[in-house]
Amino acid sequence: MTTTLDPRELSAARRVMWTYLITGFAIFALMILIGFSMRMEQAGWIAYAPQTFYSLMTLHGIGMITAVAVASMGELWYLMRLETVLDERLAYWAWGFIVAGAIAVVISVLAGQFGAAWTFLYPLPFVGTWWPSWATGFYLIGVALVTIGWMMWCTQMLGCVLSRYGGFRGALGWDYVFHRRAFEQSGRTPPPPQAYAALVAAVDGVLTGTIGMIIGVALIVHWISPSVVIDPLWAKNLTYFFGHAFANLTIYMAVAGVYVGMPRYADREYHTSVALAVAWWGTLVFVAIAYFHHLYMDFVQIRALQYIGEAASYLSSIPTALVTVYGSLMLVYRSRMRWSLGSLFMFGGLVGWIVGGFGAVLDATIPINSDLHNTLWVPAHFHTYLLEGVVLFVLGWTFMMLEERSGSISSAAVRWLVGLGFFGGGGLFLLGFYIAGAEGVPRRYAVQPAPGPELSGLASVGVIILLIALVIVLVEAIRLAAIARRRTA
Amino acid sequence: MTRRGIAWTLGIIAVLASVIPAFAGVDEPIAIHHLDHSGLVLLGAAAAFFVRDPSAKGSPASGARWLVLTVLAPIAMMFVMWPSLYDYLDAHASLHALEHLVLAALGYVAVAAGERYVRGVGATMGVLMFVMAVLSAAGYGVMKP
Repeated sequence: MTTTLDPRELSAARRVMWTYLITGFAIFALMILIGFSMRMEQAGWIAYAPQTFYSLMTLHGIGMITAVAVASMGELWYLMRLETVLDERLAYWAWGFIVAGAIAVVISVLAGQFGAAWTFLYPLPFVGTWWPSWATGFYLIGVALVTIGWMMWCTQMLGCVLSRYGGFRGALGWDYVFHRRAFEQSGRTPPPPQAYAALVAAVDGVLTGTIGMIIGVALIVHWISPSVVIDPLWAKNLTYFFGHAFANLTIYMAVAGVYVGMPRYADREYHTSVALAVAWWGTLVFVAIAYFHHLYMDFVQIRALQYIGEAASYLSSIPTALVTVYGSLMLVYRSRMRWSLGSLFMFGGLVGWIVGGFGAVLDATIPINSDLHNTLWVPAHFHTYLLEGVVLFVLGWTFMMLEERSGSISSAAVRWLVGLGFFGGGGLFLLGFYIAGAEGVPRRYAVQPAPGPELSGLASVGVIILLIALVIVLVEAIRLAAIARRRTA
Repeated sequence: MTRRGIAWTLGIIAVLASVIPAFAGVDEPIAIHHLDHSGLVLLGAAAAFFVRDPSAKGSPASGARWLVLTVLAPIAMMFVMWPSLYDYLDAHASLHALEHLVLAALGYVAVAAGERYVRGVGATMGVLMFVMAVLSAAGYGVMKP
């Protein structure tokens, strides 16, 4: 049962949510411009030194992940605040740590030219550098601050689900799944779908943060005391555990808004089912162990882990495709769906999730990975997943809030323009990555072999169209917010 | 034995396990040293687990400071386990014992603070802290420069 908030509490909860959402969108806007400049540079439209490219690539990578994570965190925090009382101060502290970390990273890259890629894979931040040592330190401390903020948020979520639903057993819905009759006869109800997203974000998030702290502190210690030598394979395992799971969790957090939003648009109920609970149990495990697919090329890695990585990558798609996406399609099928920007974004996000996920599973298939590893196929699938998945889910939630509060929706013309921009421009942008990847163009190179530059040009045209759509989205958001403010004044 | 009795027993074992090896002057590889530390952290964490009031549930509505403590304790542990200081500490038994006591205390603080925040959070953090120390043995400063 959802907690009823009085107007003051609701206002405070919304303030937290908007703080996170606006921060996320602001970072996203800055990072999309940096990404655009990188594609233009690869296309030969503009020119800057390769070092500048790698520095901007580092900032773009870590900035985008942080942007979508922060926005998703705000959305999920608000949804769980509707379930139980949460301390807003903690949410602001976590936000403060993340913003402080982001500022440190920006300084390290823009002032110090740090450019070891966002994955800061040991020993790259320390060997053959063109940036000063302080920039490495700023970057590592910045990432550590973001990780502390993330840990605080995840621990608060963990406390939230444990106290609200009766420990791990209750939060998992264990009795609901295995002793259903007795469970229902006792008058209890399982956690709502969005609580499963919170549980997975909390448990895998705390695990991810823990791993991030190990490698983060180890790198900081090595920076201060270079005689402390780190095992590179150990470092790579920890780094990719942290990076993979953190990036994955952004979409699992954001999808909570779809669980709540889509039923409102379809005017139908979306309840927790046994299939949904079990699917999220699977996600809880697969998010943590799929990262091994990043280490296929590391011949010294234990062979069994490679197979675990491949199996987990395949298995992780089942809960997504069969439960969340199929369930959402059934929600829409033959419903009186209200199509607005909010519902379009949510629905489009499901499409992007499936397409990006399919590209990811292909790349996680060992024989295919032999060809696609470290080609532009990799950014192709994760840009699909992030841009046409997470970002659309968060935009969907944002517009649902704005539409409900303003009592107004965008015109059909605006919806078409935004749809064409996101899926036309966005599609063109992504196609540039996919085709180049399939052609074997390597990723993370300032200067690409053919057909990289031509496809980068095509992708840049896509970005221009996408940017136009984003400007329209921004104008619409401001317009709806202004109407909402007038209504509540 | 009562919960408090178990907690006291674990606490005394933690103190003895911190002090005796430090003065024994055993020279160990860094990886083994990390593993020793994981044991100390676990002892401190387990003592905190048994000292908590089992009927207290805590609430995410308050107790922000407890959450901050439970998050920061594992980070502090990683810094205390600074591998290049081990040689120096091996030669200074009192400081070495103090380092061990601090590690056990950090395990205690993480679990006690987490359990005070919401029941279950501290135990989770205690397990993760132990895992951190064990994982460190696989690569944190264990290679020759």
